[in-house]
Amino acid sequence: MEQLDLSDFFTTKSESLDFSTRLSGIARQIYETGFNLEPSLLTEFGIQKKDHFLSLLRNNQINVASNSALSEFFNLIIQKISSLPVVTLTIAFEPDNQTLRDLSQWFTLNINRQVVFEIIVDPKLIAGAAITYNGRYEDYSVKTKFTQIVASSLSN
Amino acid sequence: MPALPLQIMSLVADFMIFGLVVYYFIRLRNQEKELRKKETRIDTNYHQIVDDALSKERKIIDDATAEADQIIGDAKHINQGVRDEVNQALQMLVADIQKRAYEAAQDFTANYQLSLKDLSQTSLRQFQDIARSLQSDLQNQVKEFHTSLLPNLEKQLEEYKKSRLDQTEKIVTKIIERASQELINKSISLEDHKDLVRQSLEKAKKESVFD
Repeated sequence: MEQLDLSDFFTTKSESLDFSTRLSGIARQIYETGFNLEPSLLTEFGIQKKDHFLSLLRNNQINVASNSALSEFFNLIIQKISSLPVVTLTIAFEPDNQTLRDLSQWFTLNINRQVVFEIIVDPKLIAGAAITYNGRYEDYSVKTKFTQIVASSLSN
Repeated sequence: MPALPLQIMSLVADFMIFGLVVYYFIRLRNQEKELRKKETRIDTNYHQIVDDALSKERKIIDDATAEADQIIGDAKHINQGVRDEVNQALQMLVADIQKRAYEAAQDFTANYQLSLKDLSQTSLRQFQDIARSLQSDLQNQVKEFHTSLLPNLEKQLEEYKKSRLDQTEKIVTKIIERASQELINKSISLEDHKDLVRQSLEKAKKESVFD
């Protein structure tokens, strides 16, 4: 359960909140008469994410016929989502979904942890990123170097 | 036959009655004549009195008219006299006023000229004093300006020049920065952007930002 990877479902904080809300909705329907998991997943997440979710259930050996097992797993996911660390990335361009997934994978590969992003787009950074994590802020963008270069050029 | 004396008596009685009636008529006629005479007399008297009264009235009116004409004539004479006297008095009054006004105007002009002369002399003296005072103040201020204000002013001017130059430099730097940022930002491809973000993450990892 420690290796529960949800990066296929969301990468940003707002997406994670949306996912959590939808999953809570399905969790509330589990004990209702005529509940059927697959159509519910399809309605809430679409075909691609539904397949990923079913894979996730299989990989974690969850018995989909057991309502209590499903409910427990759903609650575990919701808990995990609320505990995911948030990385605020200030970047100079508007990232697409693939870029966000790549960056999310970088965290999984390099620090063995899934994170959710809060993305701020600021073209003044020129390139690179400014990172805020756990209250610490570091600016690794090109802007700092660029300003230094311009200032030294003008003073000479 | 016994009726004869009665008839005689009756006849005598009728004569007597007839005589009485005739007498009465004659008397009544006389009285009427008398009355007519009286009336004629009275009428004559009346006309005489009226004629007398009318003649007296005419006389009174004539007298009154004559007297009124005389009064009016006298009044006209008096009116003309009064008018002449008033005109004369007014002419004298006007002449007197003109004389007094002329004298007053002459006095006023004389006084005015005198006052003007005094005033101009005083003003001239005051103006000369003020001019001297101003000249002295001006000399002092010029001296003070040269000794204290001018160096301060030069210093302030130099500071102002420097601050304006600094401001201009900052503005120019900002403009160049913004223009260059936009140009460079747009000239970098998406892949390069992604690489540079990855590099930033690597640096953060090396600096233990994620620990």
